[in-house]
This record gives sequence, structure tokens and C-alpha cells, in this order.
Amino acid sequence: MVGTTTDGTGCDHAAIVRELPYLRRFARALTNGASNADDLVHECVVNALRNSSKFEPGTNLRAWLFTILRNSFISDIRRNRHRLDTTNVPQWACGGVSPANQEDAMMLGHLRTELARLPKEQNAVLMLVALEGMSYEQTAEILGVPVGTVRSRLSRARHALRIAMEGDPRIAGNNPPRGGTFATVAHAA
Amino acid sequence: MLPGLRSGSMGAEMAKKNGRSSRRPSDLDLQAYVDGELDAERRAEIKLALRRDPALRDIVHRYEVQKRAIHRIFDGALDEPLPERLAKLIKGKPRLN
Repeated sequence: MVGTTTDGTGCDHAAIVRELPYLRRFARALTNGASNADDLVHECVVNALRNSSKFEPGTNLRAWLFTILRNSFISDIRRNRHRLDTTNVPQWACGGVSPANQEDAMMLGHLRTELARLPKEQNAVLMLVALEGMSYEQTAEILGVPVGTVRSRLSRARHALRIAMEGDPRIAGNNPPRGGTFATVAHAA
Repeated sequence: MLPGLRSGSMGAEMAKKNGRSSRRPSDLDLQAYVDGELDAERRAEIKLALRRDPALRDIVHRYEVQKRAIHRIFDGALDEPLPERLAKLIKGKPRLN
């Protein structure tokens, strides 16, 4: 996963290319399937290549790239770019999924709608951990927040999904702690 | 499985001797279990608690289902052909400074 240049500094072009599928999936997940999620990937790759000397060999390249991509995503939100319109999730815009049956497709569609409704910082944590398989530690680093924050955001996100998917909070049980700031959008260094 | 020392001692008494295992796993424990974030000992304790408590098993099951469903929603992006703009960007351009 980690690629370094022959002189042992930075990361090489080929290594970044190998990470493209994961960058595309992460961008898709952050934007909840926005059709122009690849613009984020493009921006990320341009920035990564430009700053490749800043990559520390021996560290996780994918995590470094995710940090860059996530920062672009946050900048976009601040600039109000509309690639991130998650309020109006298109019905089944994600490719490559062939649900076995109608009921299954409806469940996935429902889940997608609920993912889009999560606070963005909760969604980001959930996607890094549940989809991208990042450790809590790596996720904390990517998002520039303490590991405890990763845990609590994850818990809130999963709890919200559980309730939404069941439609009844009474049978969801085992409430995670409430409170904390949803609004803090941390910029990873 | 349980660590060797405690194998065959699944009773509540043994569980009580170990401070942590007598505590009902919290939501954070359960998700750390699902996410593979626990050390072997704590993992074994959670497994034990899961065997005893169907309600906890149910929560873990839901988290695992969620995880698989999220993969099914977004994994398609892994295999899609690159859009032209991206393909151009990465093609034979090792130096960009």
C-alpha cells in the first residue's frame, strides 16, 4: 500500500495510481454517490502529486490521500459547491450493485437515504471505518480529531441508522451517549 | 475462543473474578468488537457476553448487516472504468511540479 520513490522520499506516481479505486469509493461515500464525486478524486490526485515530497515514507499512503481528499471535500462544503447535494439523493445512482431482489434494493436505497441524512462528520467516520477499513487511530488522524471523538461519532451514526432502519427507537435499545458537538468540522493537518 | 487459562470456565463466577467481563458491554464495546479494535482478551470477554445475551447479539448483528450493506452500496466504485479526465491525469505524468 505504501509506495516510495527510489530515493526514499515522498511517494511515487504509480503508488498513487494504485490507490485510485479506494479514493473513488471514499469520494463516492462522502458525497453519497454524487455524480461528480470523481472531481474530488481528481483534485486529490493533483494535490497529492504536487505535494508528494511531503508524504512520509513508512506511513500509510492511503490514509494520507484520504486526508487530502477529505480536506477538499470540506473546502467544497465551505464554498457551497453543489456536488455535495445530499438532500436529494438520486434513486440508485451507484453503479455496480445488482441487488438480488426488490426488497433488498429497497433496503439499500433506504439505507442510502439515511446515510445522506447523517451529519457529515459522522458519515465520514462511519465510511472510513466501516467501508474503508481504517482503524480508529487512522481515522482520528485523517479527520484531525481525538480517537474518543471517532468512537462517539461512530456510535451516534450507527445508532441513528439502527433506529431509522427499524423505524422504532424503542426496540433499538442500548442508547449511546448523547450530546457533543456535531458542528465541529475538523480540518486534518 | 477464550484464552487458555479460562477455557472451560464459562460460569458467572469466573466472569466475576475478572472485573471487566462482569460488566455489560457498552455500545462502544460492541462496535469496537465489530470493527476489530479489541485486544484478544477483551474480544473473548465480549464473545462470552454475546453468547449469554441475545439482545447484545442482535445489536452486533445489526452493525454487521449495516457494514455489509454500506459495502454493497459503494463497492461498485472500485471496479468502474476511470473517467477520461482522471485517466488523462494519471497517464504518464510522473512529474507535476
